[in-house]
This record gives sequence, structure tokens and C-alpha cells, in this order.
Amino acid sequence: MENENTITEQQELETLRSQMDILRKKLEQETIVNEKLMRETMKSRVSTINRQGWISIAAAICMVLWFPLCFNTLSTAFIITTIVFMAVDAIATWIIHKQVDERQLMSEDMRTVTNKMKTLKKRYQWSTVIELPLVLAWCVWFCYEVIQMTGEPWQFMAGAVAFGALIGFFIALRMYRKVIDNCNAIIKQIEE
Amino acid sequence: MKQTEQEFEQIVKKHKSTIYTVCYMFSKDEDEVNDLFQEVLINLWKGFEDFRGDAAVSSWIWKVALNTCISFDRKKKRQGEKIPLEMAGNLFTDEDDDSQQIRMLYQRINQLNLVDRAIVLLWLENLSYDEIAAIVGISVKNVSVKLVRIKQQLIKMSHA
Repeated sequence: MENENTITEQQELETLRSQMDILRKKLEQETIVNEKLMRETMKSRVSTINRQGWISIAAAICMVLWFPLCFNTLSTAFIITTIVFMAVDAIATWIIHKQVDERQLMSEDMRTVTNKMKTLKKRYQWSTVIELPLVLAWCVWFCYEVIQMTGEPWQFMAGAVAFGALIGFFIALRMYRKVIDNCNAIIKQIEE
Repeated sequence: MKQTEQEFEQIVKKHKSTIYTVCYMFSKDEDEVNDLFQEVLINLWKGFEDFRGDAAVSSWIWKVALNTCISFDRKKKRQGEKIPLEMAGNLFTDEDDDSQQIRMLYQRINQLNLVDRAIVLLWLENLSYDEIAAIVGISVKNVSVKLVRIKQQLIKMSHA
């Protein structure tokens, strides 16, 4: 009886193999890949850092270049702190994204892809935990600096900066969630 | 066309069946197969410069195809032009005997979770346990244990 079961199981598995053979033979007869598809594929830019990483770095560089020119009446300490802060942010973003070089990522085995996604997620979470209080402190200092400079009532400046900070916060939160959700989706599927 | 591009095109055409098989088994309809196929080609192209000659081409193709299909964000809108694949038939809708056999295989494999699906596809393509282990990133023993479980699951499905 046991032998019969084993033979039946073997037959079932052989059926799967033969169905796979049918699929392979059918696909060999199809063209599938045409010239247009190949041309479109080869137009893809190869980058070590994804689009999000580049946006963060570009924003930081713009701030470093633009800020001292537009706000040169603010205190030197504040300008230098801002430049250093943005430069460190740009470098940190580059380092985080460089670890997950998209050229290489998909060529790794599935387990390595999961581990790299976990690392990226952890680094992103850590960088947010560190950056958020620093950004808040910077906003408060900026308010103070502008009030000192213009003499405007503090309520007006606080409101303007808070509004700008809120928009920036939601944009950053959206970008952060996108990266984390993407990582979670990949990790969850491979770990299931 | 540059030499790199020619080499890449040759490799893709040689392994088109492998790429399509993976995309087919990880998708729910013809549109999704097209999207996945294009995404796999893009990831192969991005990794091609770094890959060249490091390991067996077929292993590399399997890794990129499987990783792409597993991590593909189905909710995200595709950037770039969507180009239909040059296929005479439609494996999801054709009614000839071969297509029906293929759909039976698809329906069984599609019920497995994503990693099990990857492992059983590699096994059905007659890759060795060592090769499967290298592609998935687990030990050979683990491959063996998982395959026993997967086969039991597939047999149970056929009796259901």
C-alpha cells in the first residue's frame, strides 16, 4: 500500500515536470523579446543611488549653496551650523543608499536581498530618530535669528516657520514611509 | 549597436523562456506578466556591467528574475513606456491542450507562498540542490527539507 502511494506521488511529480516541459517548449517557439523592448530596456539609467536618494542630496546641496547667499545677515554661527547640518545630511543619505546599490541588489541571492533591505530599513529609522529633534531645534533657532534680524513680532515668524516646517515634515514623512513600506513588503514576502 | 548591448541582447534571447516562466508563475494576468518581464529586463541591464562572467549566466538570470518578481510593487504605476511582449498566444486564456496543461501547473504553483514558489520552479527546471541553495541563499539541507514539504503540499492539492 505504501509502495503504491509512493508510486502515485512520483507520478504526480512527474506530471508537474512534464507540464513544465510543455511550457518550456511552447515558450521556445515564441519570439517574446522584440527590438523595441530591448531598446526601451537599454535606455534605463544605471545609478548607484535611487531617485529618492538623489532628491535628498540635491536638496541638501541647494541649501548649502543658497542659504548663505540669501540669509547672510544671520549670525555666522547659525549659517555655519546650517551648512554643516545639510552637508552631513547629504553624506548620510549617500551612505545609506550606497549600501543598497540597485545595480547589485537584484543579482544577489534572495536571503542577501532580505538582509540588505533590513539594514536599509534600520538605517533609515535611525537617521529619522536622530534628524527629527535636530530639525526641530534648527527651526526654533531660525525663528529666533530672523526675529533678531527683522524685528518682526515673534508670533508672525513662529507661524511662518511652523507652516514651512509642517510642509517639510509631511514631505519627509511621505518619503520615509515609502522607503520603509517598500522594505517591509520585500522582507515580509521573503521571510514568509 | 555596441558590443555590450549585443551581448546583453543575446543573453536575454537565450534565456527568454526562463524569464517568462518566472514572470508567469508570479503574476495574475497577461498585463502583470508584461510589467514583470520589462522590470526583470531593466534589472538585468542595470546589473549587467558588474556581472559579466562572474558566475553562471543562468544562475544570475534566475536570481534577478526571482528577486524582481518577489519584490515588485504591484500598486506602483510603471514608469516608462509599456511595451507588449511578442507572443502568439495567451497562457491565461488559450484553450488548446498544451495551454490547459500549463494552466494546471500554474494553478498549483500559484497557491504556494513566494519563496516556495521560487524553490519549486528551480527544482522543476532540473537545477541541482547546490544551485538552488546558491540562488535562494539557504543551505543545501534546508533546500532538501523545504522541497519535501513543498512536494507534499503539491500532492495534497492534486487530491483536493
